[in-house]
Amino acid sequence: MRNKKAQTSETITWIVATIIIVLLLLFFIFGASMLGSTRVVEGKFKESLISKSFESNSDLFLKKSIIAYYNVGENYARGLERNLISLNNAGNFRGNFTLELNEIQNLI
Amino acid sequence: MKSKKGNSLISLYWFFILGIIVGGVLIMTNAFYSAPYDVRNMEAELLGNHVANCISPEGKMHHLLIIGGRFFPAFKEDFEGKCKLNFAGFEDWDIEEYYVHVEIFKGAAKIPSYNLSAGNKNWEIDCEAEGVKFNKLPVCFNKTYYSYDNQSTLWRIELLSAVSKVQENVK
Repeated sequence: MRNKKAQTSETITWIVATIIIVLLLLFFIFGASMLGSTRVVEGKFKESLISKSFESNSDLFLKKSIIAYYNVGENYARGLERNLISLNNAGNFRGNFTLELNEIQNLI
Repeated sequence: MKSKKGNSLISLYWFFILGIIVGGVLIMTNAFYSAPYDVRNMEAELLGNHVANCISPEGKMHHLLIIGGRFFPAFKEDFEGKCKLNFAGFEDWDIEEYYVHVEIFKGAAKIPSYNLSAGNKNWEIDCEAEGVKFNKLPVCFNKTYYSYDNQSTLWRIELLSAVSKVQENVK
């Protein structure tokens, strides 16, 4: 009788242990699926493959606009500079406006 | 004899627990690493850059888009061909996953003088839902920039590119 009682308590211990193991696993599976959500890759590009910096500071659209600024008639250019500054302040361009302006001026 | 039976039962139980743990680890690894990378931001920007380079290569309006200060209609008719755009995508795509829309304004004009578009127009409406953070919506890329033509006329270009591809990028 005593032996039977001991066997029952041991079985109950293992059943409880199994339940705890299963619950722990479920908890970790839930955690892993929460952590493994979609990772968003932002659009920041390097200047070139050999460039040391991890992202480019130049902006294609700003460059094109500044080239236009130096090539349009004087009547357009006055208003354009103001528009470019306000677009830059609004976050339309990623690059450094003054730096790009000087860089392109030196090239033209 | 009884003890031998009990031992084999415990061994079976251990194998069962081991199986559960191995299965759990596999499910965990799969759940963590199967999440896709959402590269639509980069894709939309690359598409926008490509179209901008097509419309105004090196900052000057495309020579077949504006001729003698006027827009050349053939460019609009073959916009995808002229700009080397191919939105067909994979065979299992039921719908076009890309959209590009370009509006060209003369100087400071409020009404566009010309517009070009290609791809699935439905994404344009979703792009208007600004500020809504719902990853099942397409990712949009908006830019305003300036260009000039042969006659030194200033053109303002408003560009919108959208990439949907939810199945490939969002879990």
